[in-house]
Amino acid sequence: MTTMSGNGMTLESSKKYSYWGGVWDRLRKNKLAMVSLVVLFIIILCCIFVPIFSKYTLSEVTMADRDQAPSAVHWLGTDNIGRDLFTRLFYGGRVSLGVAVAVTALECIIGVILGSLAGFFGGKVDTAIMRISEIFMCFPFLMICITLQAVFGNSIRTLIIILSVLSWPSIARIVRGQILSLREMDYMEACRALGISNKRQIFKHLFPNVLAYIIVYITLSMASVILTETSLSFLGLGVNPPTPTWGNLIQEARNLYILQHKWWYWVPPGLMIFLSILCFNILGDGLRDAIDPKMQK
Amino acid sequence: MTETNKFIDVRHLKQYFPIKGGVFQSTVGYVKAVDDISFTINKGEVMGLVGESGCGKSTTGRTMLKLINPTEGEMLYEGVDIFKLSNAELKKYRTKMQIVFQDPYSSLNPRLPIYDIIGEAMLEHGIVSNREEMMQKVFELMDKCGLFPEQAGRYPHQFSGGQRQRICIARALALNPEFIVCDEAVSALDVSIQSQIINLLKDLQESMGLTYLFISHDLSVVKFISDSVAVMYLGEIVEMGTKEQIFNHYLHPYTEALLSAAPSFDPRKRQNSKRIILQGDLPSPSNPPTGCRFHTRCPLANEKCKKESPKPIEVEPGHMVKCHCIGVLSE
Amino acid sequence: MSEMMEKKPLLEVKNLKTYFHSAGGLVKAVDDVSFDVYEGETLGIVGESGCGKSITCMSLARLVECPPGKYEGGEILFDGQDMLKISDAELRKIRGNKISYIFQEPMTSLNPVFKIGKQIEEVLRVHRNMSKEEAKKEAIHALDLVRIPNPERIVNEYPFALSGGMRQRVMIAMALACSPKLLVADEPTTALDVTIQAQVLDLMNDLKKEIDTSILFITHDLSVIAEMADRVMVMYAGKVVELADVNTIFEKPLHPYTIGLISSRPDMSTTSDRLNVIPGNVPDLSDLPTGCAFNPRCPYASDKCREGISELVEVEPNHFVRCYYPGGEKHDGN
Repeated sequence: MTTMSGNGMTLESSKKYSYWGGVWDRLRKNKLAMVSLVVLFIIILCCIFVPIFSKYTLSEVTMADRDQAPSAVHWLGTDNIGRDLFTRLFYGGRVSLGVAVAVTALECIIGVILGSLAGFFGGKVDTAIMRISEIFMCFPFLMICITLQAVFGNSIRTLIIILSVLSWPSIARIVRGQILSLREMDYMEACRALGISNKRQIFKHLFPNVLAYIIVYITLSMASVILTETSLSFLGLGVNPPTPTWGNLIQEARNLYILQHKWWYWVPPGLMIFLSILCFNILGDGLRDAIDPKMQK
Repeated sequence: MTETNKFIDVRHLKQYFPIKGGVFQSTVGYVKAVDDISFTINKGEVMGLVGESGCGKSTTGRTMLKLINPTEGEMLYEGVDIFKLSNAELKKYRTKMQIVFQDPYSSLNPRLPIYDIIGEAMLEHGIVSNREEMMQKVFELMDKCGLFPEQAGRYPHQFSGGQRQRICIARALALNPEFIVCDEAVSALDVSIQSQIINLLKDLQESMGLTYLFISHDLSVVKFISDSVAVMYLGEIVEMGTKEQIFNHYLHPYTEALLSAAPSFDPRKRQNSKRIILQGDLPSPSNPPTGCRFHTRCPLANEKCKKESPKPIEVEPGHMVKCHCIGVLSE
Repeated sequence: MSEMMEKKPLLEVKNLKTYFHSAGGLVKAVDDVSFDVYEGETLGIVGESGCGKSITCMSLARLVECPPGKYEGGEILFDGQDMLKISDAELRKIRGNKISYIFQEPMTSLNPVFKIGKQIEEVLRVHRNMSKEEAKKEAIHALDLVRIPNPERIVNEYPFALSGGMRQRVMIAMALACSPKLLVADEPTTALDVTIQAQVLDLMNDLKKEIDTSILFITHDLSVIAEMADRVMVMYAGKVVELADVNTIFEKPLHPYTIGLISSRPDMSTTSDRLNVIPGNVPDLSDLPTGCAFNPRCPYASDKCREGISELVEVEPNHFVRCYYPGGEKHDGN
């Protein structure tokens, strides 16, 4: 920034004053959020690099080694057809987290576009979009899932589409509300008085202010999508075996004998779900506080 | 055609806000925020607009700049009706008219550095051709408004209220405007900062030949800075004239009450001054009283006031009063 | 002013320190503040945002939230008791009963879901053990006292039905319902329009004569102080900088800050072309300059002011100033 000078004037180093620099500084002071960030990072790295850690492949069936408790050979044991559960756990993580990322991205794209349109144009556009979002919010979630899965087939792609189509209204409402309140701010009025173009008003003034809320929503939505996918897979409505997800890994433990005697079937995926959701939620809370400049003191 | 020579000429300005109600959000009534007001401002002069909250003084300022679309009326800027311009033409006039808001906190985008806040409009209107030139101008403006130019890379939350108001003024000056609406520009500031900003506004006005519409509820500030004054009550201008006429030869009972209500600065005066205390509250502008709008609180009100709305009368050149009882006050 | 000395102080504040421990560091919001309020008098506290005037008043009935706030020292003697030492139960008996508060924002000071009457009755029933009927009668009487038309009807209204000025009257009625010995009014007219402010100030001046209550009146508006106060205390950055009776403050201010404040306000009679100005900004309490906090803005500041701060000195009878150069008198060096 110091390069931007005129008249021999040099600006103070503006790095420490930058808005996002301030957000990062505040987030860094929040120890819990930073721990969550690190844990999430480790989980994601493990999921990506699981082929390097593990000498087994995803569907390698070794009937001789079936039903083994964790050992040096199989770190998290094997299942009833001898598949290595450590490998399956992190391949499952790929699917679970991948679905969460895809759904969150899709719902945010739909939601942010529709929410911005509603907020920016107001009037009839606003009424129409908001009524549609209300209709989507009225759908009984499980029934729609079952129906659509039955019609389109039970695949990861269908699951992603169903989840994102059903969840966009909440982010759309957040964005609309924000834009409506931002439009009332004096600085937006000042923009109009200065004759600033619509494009610049939207991208320089509105968008960065809404972005903060979207980022927070993304972390919270990641957590909720993981949970939803898990529940659906557990009910057999989500991703089909043999593709592993954290949800259907737990589903395999759906009988009393396994629950009582074979903890390695369900404790590790349970822990992963618990950890990742907890971390996303804490990170989301931390971000919400960090993004507000008033939280500085 | 002497009238068109007026710098700012507002004619029969009306601003009605619809009240929506019912299932289908249909219009069930109107808030008559500004109801048929007319006034003129000469070039290089300051016109004070005073009144209580909800009287429509801020709406007047915003409508004049077409930040809100007017319901009716004309706003002539050197004879050109701002309300009739196309968007492209209006954009040209945007450089000539600016506004400074009351709240220095909500009027600066928290996510932009100061140089962008002040400079962006100059780039937009092609006043400067590149960022280098923009920075140069930003530094000049900040210096002019009593800010430290080396702080141009900071963000709004790192400034105090008074400094933020200086930034707002620098932003308004960036386009070299001729006319600035100051909408309660000093009301939210601390006492010791108010005087700094008032002096700054006055210095700028004199050195750059600016014209102000100075909107305020604070009579002593208006008296200090204005050349002429208009008093608003419930969307109407009830009295208008030069500073001298309004403060020393007021004719409207509301003006008298407003002046008398302002607490005196001299503790010894309070024993012997007889204050006029208006009874009751401001009526709602969505349902204003019939006849003269002030009659519900007016100490002089009679039957005629309740039925008939008074016409504006020019009692002496430049001094307009809207009252049935002109002359009663002086007795 | 000698008759003032014979009166008994109702409230004696001695070396009060209320600090806030925040992430940004220690904030000395109230720093070694001492003053008395005599029976039947109105003491005005004037100062800009962040000068500690509100925290001083909140401290009197221990209304400052702890943490982040902390009473670090001093005494608040009210009616023979040290408010900082008594138990919470005793404190509750005093709040709303012997000390009452009126706050700035009439829109948020009343609970929107209860009727006006009920909110006043509640105070009376808690502190006066009144029956429901007695309390209602008393509530109507209290509303009548603050000249609310049709008090019998208003007791059955909800707060939203009243205008700002009316709500502030209700707040005053509520504060006065138990005939408190001390009424603390924190910017009671700041949120009101000029004509409504005139009504409320007029009312308070009348009530002062009718009921024998001491008033602590906090405002940033010097003209309101001129209107209301018997004595005035000027605060700056958590400290008392000047304390004198109202005529003296306005006619012969001695602290450079008071002088600056009074001369920087445009008055109805101002004729000069420029306003006098106190340069600089209102200081940030977490980052105060060393020595006298006013020294960066003071035209008379010397090295002495940058190193240390004066005591509150009685320069003439009953006129206290915290400055090495009261009145900006000539001094050697710069």
